[in-house]
Amino acid sequence: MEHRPFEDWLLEERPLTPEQRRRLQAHLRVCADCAALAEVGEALRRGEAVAPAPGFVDRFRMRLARERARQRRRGVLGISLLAAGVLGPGLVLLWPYLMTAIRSPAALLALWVHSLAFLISLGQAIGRAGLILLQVFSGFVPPASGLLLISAATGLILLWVFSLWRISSPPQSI
Amino acid sequence: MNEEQVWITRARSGDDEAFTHLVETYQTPVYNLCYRMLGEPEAAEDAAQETFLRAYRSLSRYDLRRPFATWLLSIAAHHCIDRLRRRRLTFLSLDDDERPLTLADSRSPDPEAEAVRREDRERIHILLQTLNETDRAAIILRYWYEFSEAEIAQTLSLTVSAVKSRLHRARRALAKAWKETLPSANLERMPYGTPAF
Repeated sequence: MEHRPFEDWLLEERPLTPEQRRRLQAHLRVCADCAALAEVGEALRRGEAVAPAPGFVDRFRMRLARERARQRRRGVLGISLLAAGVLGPGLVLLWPYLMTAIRSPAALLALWVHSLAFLISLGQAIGRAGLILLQVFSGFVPPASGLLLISAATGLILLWVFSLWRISSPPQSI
Repeated sequence: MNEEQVWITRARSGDDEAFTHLVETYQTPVYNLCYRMLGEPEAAEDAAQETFLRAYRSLSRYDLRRPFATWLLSIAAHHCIDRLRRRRLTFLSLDDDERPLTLADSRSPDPEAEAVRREDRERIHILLQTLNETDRAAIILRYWYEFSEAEIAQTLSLTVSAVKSRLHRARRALAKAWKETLPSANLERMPYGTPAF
């Protein structure tokens, strides 16, 4: 059976002219498929809203309170885990120093003074080595060539900095 | 700013009573959508509660220019679709004996007509469960909430043409199931006509 245009009319749900209504009614009397479509549309339009059982809002309040308590527990657990994650490794690393400090504070102080003296002497040694290298270099290279080399190195460094700036700067809007 | 927006703004700033007022206002539309989508009162209650919780959590992201009901129903629809997808393997029989038995209201002017209407509503409710979850949501928003195709598209994150085609497909599927499940006693009351025309 030909369902067009009746099926389209039923699905589109647009207002029909009296003549179209008459034709549709006649079709619905003989077409079970379109009649079912019309009945379903009618039943859907009669649909009523179902309300929840009384006390819905109070139950929501309780659920919200439970949710908040759960969030608080999660927050406390998260902070505890974070603290353990940060403090744990720190404690492990500092443990020998702490033990030394507990057992003998004077020994720890001596260790720190020794480390500081070592760092100062290391810096002085590096400075002296640099001066010696510079003296050796100036003996081999004439002053004009040295000046040229230093200028070239400075130029290369400036070019490198400029390239980095161009690469890292955001593109212009089109 | 209208009254509803005032409540929403207050709820956003941490006023729980203001949010409770919104729950009170929208409990029936949200619950009804969940009930039509999920088919069972217990699941609908849980889904409706979860919808309001989700709305509470994401209230700061709500755009005040958008209708609150549409936003809320969108959360509910997506939540129900997710639930249905998770339990897709669950079979819902059309002959489910656990569906609520309702009797005709004797106070109605025409108890027989009322009984027929009630029976039709129950049949539609059961047939809805046979639809694909997104089609079901589209049908519910169209017929229970009178959403336009554009509003359904916005709510379900679909295109308008997709909504239109889903609505047509769903209506055809419902009509087919309607015809197949038509009780023999009802054949006489339906002379292939409809009061709509």
